[in-house]
Amino acid sequence: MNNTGRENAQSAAPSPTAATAAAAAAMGCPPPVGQVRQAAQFWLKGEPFVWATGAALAATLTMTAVLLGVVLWNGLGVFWPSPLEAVVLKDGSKLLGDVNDVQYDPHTEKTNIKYRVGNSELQQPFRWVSADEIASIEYPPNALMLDRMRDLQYIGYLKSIEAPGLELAPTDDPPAALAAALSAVRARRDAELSELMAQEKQAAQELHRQVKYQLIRARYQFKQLAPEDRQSSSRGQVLTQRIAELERQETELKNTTDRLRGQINARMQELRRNVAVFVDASGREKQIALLDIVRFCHPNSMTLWAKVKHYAAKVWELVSDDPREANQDGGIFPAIFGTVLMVFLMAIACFPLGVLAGIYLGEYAKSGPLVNLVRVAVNNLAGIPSIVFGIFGLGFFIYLVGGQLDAWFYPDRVAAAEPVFGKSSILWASLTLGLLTVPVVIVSTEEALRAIPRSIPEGAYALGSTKFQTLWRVLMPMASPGVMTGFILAMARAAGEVAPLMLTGAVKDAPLPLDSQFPFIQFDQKFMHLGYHILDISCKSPNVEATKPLVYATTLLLLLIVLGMSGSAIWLRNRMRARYQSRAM
Amino acid sequence: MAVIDKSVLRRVHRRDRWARWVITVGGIVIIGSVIAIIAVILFEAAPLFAPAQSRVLVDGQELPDLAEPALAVGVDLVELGQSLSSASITAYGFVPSGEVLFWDIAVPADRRERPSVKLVHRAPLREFGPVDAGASEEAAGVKEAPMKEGSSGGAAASSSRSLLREVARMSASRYLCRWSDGAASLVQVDITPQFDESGRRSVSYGVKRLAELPAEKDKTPVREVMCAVEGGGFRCARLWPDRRLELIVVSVRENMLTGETEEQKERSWLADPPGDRPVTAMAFNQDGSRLFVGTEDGRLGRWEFTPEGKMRRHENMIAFGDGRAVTALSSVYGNISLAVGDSLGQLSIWFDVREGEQRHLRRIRDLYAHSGEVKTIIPSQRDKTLLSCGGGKASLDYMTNGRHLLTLEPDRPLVQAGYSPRGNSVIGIDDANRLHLWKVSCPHADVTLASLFTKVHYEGYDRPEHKWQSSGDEPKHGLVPIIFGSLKATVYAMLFATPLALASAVYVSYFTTPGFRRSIKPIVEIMAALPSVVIGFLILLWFAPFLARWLTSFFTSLITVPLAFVLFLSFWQAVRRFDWAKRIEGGYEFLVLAPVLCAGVAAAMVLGPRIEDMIFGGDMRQWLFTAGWTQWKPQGLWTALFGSTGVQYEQLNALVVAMGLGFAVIPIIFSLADDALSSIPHSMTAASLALGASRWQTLWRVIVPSASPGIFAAIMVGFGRAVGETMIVFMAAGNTPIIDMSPFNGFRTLAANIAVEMPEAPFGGTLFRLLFLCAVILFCTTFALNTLAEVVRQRLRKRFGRY
Repeated sequence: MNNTGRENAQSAAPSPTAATAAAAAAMGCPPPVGQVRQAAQFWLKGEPFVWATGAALAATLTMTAVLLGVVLWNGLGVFWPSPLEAVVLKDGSKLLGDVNDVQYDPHTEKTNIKYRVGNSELQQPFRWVSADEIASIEYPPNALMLDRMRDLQYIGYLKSIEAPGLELAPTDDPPAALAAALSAVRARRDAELSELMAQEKQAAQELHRQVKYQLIRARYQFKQLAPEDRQSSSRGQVLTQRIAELERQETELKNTTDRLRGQINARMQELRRNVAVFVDASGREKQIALLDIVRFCHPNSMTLWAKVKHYAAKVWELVSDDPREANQDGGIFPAIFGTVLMVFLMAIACFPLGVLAGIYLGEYAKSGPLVNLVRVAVNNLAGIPSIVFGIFGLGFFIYLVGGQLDAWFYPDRVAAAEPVFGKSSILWASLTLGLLTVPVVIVSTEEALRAIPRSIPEGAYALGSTKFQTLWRVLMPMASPGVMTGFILAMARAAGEVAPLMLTGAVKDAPLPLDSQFPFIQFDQKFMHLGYHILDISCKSPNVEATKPLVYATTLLLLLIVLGMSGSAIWLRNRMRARYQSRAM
Repeated sequence: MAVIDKSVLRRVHRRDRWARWVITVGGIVIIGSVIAIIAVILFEAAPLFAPAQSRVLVDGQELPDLAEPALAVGVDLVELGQSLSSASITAYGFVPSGEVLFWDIAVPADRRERPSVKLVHRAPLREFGPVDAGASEEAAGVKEAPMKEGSSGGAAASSSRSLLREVARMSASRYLCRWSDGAASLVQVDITPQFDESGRRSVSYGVKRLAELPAEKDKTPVREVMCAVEGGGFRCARLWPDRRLELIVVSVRENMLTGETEEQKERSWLADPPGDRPVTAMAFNQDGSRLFVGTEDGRLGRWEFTPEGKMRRHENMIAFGDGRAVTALSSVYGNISLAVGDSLGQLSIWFDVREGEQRHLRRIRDLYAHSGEVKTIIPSQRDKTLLSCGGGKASLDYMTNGRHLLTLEPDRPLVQAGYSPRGNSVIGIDDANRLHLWKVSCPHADVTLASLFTKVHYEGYDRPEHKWQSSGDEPKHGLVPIIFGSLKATVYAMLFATPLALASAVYVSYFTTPGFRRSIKPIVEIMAALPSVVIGFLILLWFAPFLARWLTSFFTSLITVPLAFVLFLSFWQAVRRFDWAKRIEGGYEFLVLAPVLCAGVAAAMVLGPRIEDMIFGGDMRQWLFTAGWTQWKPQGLWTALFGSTGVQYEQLNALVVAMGLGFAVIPIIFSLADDALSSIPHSMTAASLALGASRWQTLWRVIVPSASPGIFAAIMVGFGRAVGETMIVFMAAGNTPIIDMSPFNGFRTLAANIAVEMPEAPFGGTLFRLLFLCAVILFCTTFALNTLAEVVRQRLRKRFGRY
C-alpha cells in the first residue's frame, strides 16, 4: 500500500466502533472475557457493517424480484379466464364481472374490490365495490365474456341467436350454439368476401403506391417547364398526355376501389344481420352482430383444458394480430415486427462498421495519446444519453441528409409536401440506433482482440503470415465469441431503447413497413415499436384502466426479448472469459 | 525449405495492404463520424446566438416624385424562397397632398447596380369636406374604402380640398391621418403581392379606411390617437388646445334580424388630465382597452375601460423625475407592456406590477439609449421587437430580454422610419429626403445567454423569475428550471441508489461466497439491460399509485426496517456461537436478511395507517397540503424544506422518480464499483488479514481507500446516467418546469424537455434550436463526467496493474 492509500485510510474517518477497536488494539488493553467478550468482538470487529452491506444486497435483489414479480404476475395473468361473479349488492343492484383488483383500506379496515363489468357502451367498464356492500356472490355457469371488435369486452348471458342467414343445428348448450354460429358466420364471410377484399386491397395499394406518386412527379415536371413550352414543346405534350393518362388511371382505380368497397359493405351489412342477443346483469338486452365477436369464454363452466386453450388463443392473438380500438385491445404484431425489423436494419448498418473500427483500434492504430483519447471518447459515447442520439438523428439524418437526398432525387415529392427521406422513418431510426450501439460493438471487439494472449499473433507472425492473414485466420476466429457478445448486447440495447425512436420514426399506429416489390421493405415508412407501444398505451391512452392488462403483457414480451438476449450475451461472455483464463495459465 | 510461389506471395501482400487501408480508413471514418455528433448538435444550436443581420437594400436614393418631405413612410417585404431577387419589396410614403406613394423596389440579380425606383400608384386618400359635427353619424362610420388597384390611379389625385397635416403611426401598417381641417382618418395600408404559376409577380396596393372622424367646427385638436376595435367600432382620444382630453367611442351593433348595422357614438371628457403641462404623447393599446398619456414634465397616465364601458383613470405618476418629457408611447405586441421614449433618447419598458393590493405601472428595463429625443416607436406585429427612431438613428431592440439588435445609421440623420409588418425590413428617410431601406433579420432575438440563465421579469409577473414556457405571446426560455429539474432528479436518485449499490458491491466482492458472486454479477448485469420504458411504466401505473396510498407506511419503513435490522443483529449475537450460524457468516448473510427486511416493511405497512391516524389526522397528503407541521413546536427542518404554506402532494413526484431512476442506476454503479474493488490485488487483503484485522477492518481501512478513485468513478458514471435518463422521467415526473426542492412534486429534466417539446417544435425555430442547446448541455455534462471517470479508472488500473 502506498502513501496516498494510507492517508486516505486515516482521513476516511472510519466508524466509531472500528476506531475504538483499533485504539483498543493499539493500546494493548486486555480484551473482555466470556460472553461479553464475544458480543463486544462482534461489534468491535465491524461485523454489523458487514451485515449492513448484506442488507443492501438483500434489498436490491428483493426489489428486483418484486419488480419482475409484478410484471410476471400481471403479465401472465392477463389472459387467464378468471371466474365471472354475479354479485348482488345490499341495495339490490346486480353486477356481473371478474375481479380486477382488491385493495385493503387500512383506515376504514375495509376491503374494496374492483370488478371489470365491461359493456363500456352502456356503463363504466370498471366498478369499485366495498366488500361490506355485497349481499351474495354466485358463479352462474352460463355467464359469458365476449371480446369484441368494438367497445372492448361484453359480459352477460346469451339469450338467443338470431341468424336468419345461417343454418344452425339447434343445441341446448348456449356456448356450443354460439361457437357454432360464430364459425358458421365466419365461414360465410371468408367464402364471400376474401376474394373481394384481396382485390380491393390490391387496387388501393396500386392507387396509393404507384399512380399517386407518378402523378405527383409528372405534374411537377410539367410545372417545371417554362409556360411557353407547356403547350408547344414535344416534352410538354408528352407530359400533358401522361398526366391525362395517369389521371384516368387514378379515377379508374378509385372507382374500382369504391365499387369493391361498396360490395363489401353491402355483404357485410347482410352478414351483420346475424346477431346474438345478450342480457347483462341488470337485465338490459343487447344485440351484437356475430361478426363483431372475436372470441368468447364462459369461465365458470370451462374445463381446465378449455381455459388453457383460451389462454393460448389469446396469447397467439397478442403476438400475431393487429391492434384494435386505438391500441386498447387486440394484438401487437406490427410492434413486434417493427422492433425486429428495426433491430435487423440497425445490425446491418452497425455491426460491420463497429467491427471495423474495433479492429482498427485494437490492432492497427499505433498506440499513443491520441488513440487513447479516441478510445476514451468511444467508451464515453456509450454513456451519452440516448435522447441526445435521438435529437442528433433528427437534426442530422432527417433534416440534413434526408432533406438533401430529397432535394436531389425527389424535388416533386417535397413540392407536394410528401417528402421521402426528409421525414422520420424506419431507416433513420435504425441508423440512429446503429450509432447509439456502435460503441458497444467497437468496445467489445477491441476487448475480445485484446483478451487474446499476445503469444498467439506473434506465433502467427513468426510463421510468416501477414497482418491481415493473422487477423483473418487466427485472431478473428478466436475473438468471435466476444464480438458476438457485443452484437447481442447491442441488439438488446436497441430493442429496449425508446427515447431516440420518439424523435426518429416510431409511431403509435402504422402498417407493416413491407412492400410486395423490391426491396420489399419500405424504408421511408414510420413503424410501430414495442417500447414505444408501452409508452403510448400507458401514458397517452384515453382509458388507462382498460389498457393496463395489455401494457403488462407487452412489457412481459419486451422483457423476455431484451433480458433473453442480454442474458445469453452475458452467459457467452462469461464462458469465453473462462476459456481465455484457462488458456492464459 | 519450401519455396512459395511468387504470385501467391504478391497476392497475400496485396491483400494485406488493401486490408490495412480499408480498416484504417474505415475505422477512422467511423470513429470520426461518431465524434461528429457533438459537432452536428452544436451546429444546430449555434444560430441561437448569432447576431442580428442587416443588409442595405437601398442606400440614400433620391426620390424624384417626393418633392416635399414625407409625413410617414412604410415598407413591406415579402420573400418567396431563398433569394432576394424573387422578393417583393414595396415602400410607401404619405405626402401632404393626401396621397400615398408606392414604390416597387425590384432588386436586380446583379447586386452592385442601383435598384430602380418606380412610382406605381398614386391614390387620393380622402375626398370629403368638413362635416357638421351634429349630423356626422353616417359619414363617420367605419367604411371599407379600398383604393383603386393597379397602375391607373395617378389621374384622380388632384381634387382634394384639404391637405394632410400630420400622419401618426398606430402600428406597422395602420396610420392616423390628420387633415388640415381637423378631421382624422385611421387607414390601413395593404400590399398584396401575388405570384402566378410561373413565379411572375404582380402587386396590388390598397389603402383601407378603418375609421373616420369628422372635423369639429372651427376647432382643431392638438393631438389624437385612434384605435379600431373588434366588431367594427373604434375608439378615439382627442386632446384639445385647452388641454382637455375627449374620448369618443363608436361602437357598431348588428341587428340580428335585419342584418343592418347600427352605430352608436359616445363622447365624454376624461377627468383629470395628468399634470398641468402639455401632453406630448398618447397611445392606445392594441385592443383599445387602455389609453396611455405622457406629458412634457415626465408624467405617465393610464386610463382603462371598465367592463361597463366607462374609462377610468388608474395611474397618474411621475415617470421621470429629472424633467425629461415623454415623447413617444407605444403598446408592445401582446398588449401588456408599454414602450416609452423620452426627450433624452432613452427607450424604456413599463408594465403593471402588483404592489400590495394595487397594480402599478413600473419601469421594468431600459432599452437602447438614443442620442436625441425618441421620435417614434413602432412595435413588431409578430414578436416583442421594437423599432425606435431618434437622434437620426433607428434602433431595433427586443423587449423581453432588453437585447439591442441593430443600430441603423445612414450617412445623414434619419427623420422618418418605418417597419414592415413582417418585421423583416426597415425603411428610413433622411433629412435630405432620400430613401434608405434595410433588410433585417434576427430569428432568435428572444434568446441571450443572460435570458437563458438569469431571472427575467416577464410580462404579467411581479418580479423577475426563472421560467420555462415555450408557448404564448412571450415565450419564456429560462433553462434554469429545466437544469434544476435534472439536478433534482439526479440528486434524489443518487441518494437512493449510491448507498445501496456501493454496499451491495462491497458485499458481493468481499464477503459473499465465490459461488454467489458468480451468479449475482450476471443478475445485476441483466438488471442493467432492463429497458427504461419498462421501469417508467411500472413507476407510472404501479408504484406511484401504490406510494400515494401507502405514503405514511413508506416513511414508517425508513424507521422500521433499520429497527428490524438492529433487533435481528441483537438476536444474532446470541446465536452466532452455534456452528450453523458460523456457516451463515461465511457469505450467506443476505439470504437471512431478506426476510428480516421484508418483516420490517410488513411492520411498516401495519403501523403506517395507525401512525397516520394518530399524527397526521388520517391523511398524510392532506396534512402536507394544509401545512400540518406548523402546529409542531420544532418545525425548523420542515419549514426549511417545505416552507410554511403546505405542499401539494402530486402522485408523480421526485420520490417515485428517484426510486425508478435509482433502480436504473444501481446496476451501473454496482458493476463499476465491483470492478474497482476487485482490481485491488488479493495480496493486500491477505496481508491485512494476516496482521489480525477483521474482515470489515480490512475492507474499510485497506480496500476501500485503495479503490476509492474507482468508486468515485462509478458514482460519476451513475450520475451521468441519471442526468441523461429520459423515459423514466418523461413518464413519471409530471414534466412541470418548476423550481421546488420538495420531494412531493414533479419537475422537468433536460432530457424529458427534449422529448416533450420536440414534436411541437417547428424545424429551425427558436424552440427547435433551444432543444438542441439542451442536448448540447446534456452531451457536455455526461461526456465530462464519463471522461473524468474513465481517466480515474485508467489511473487506478495502471497503479494496481503490476500486482
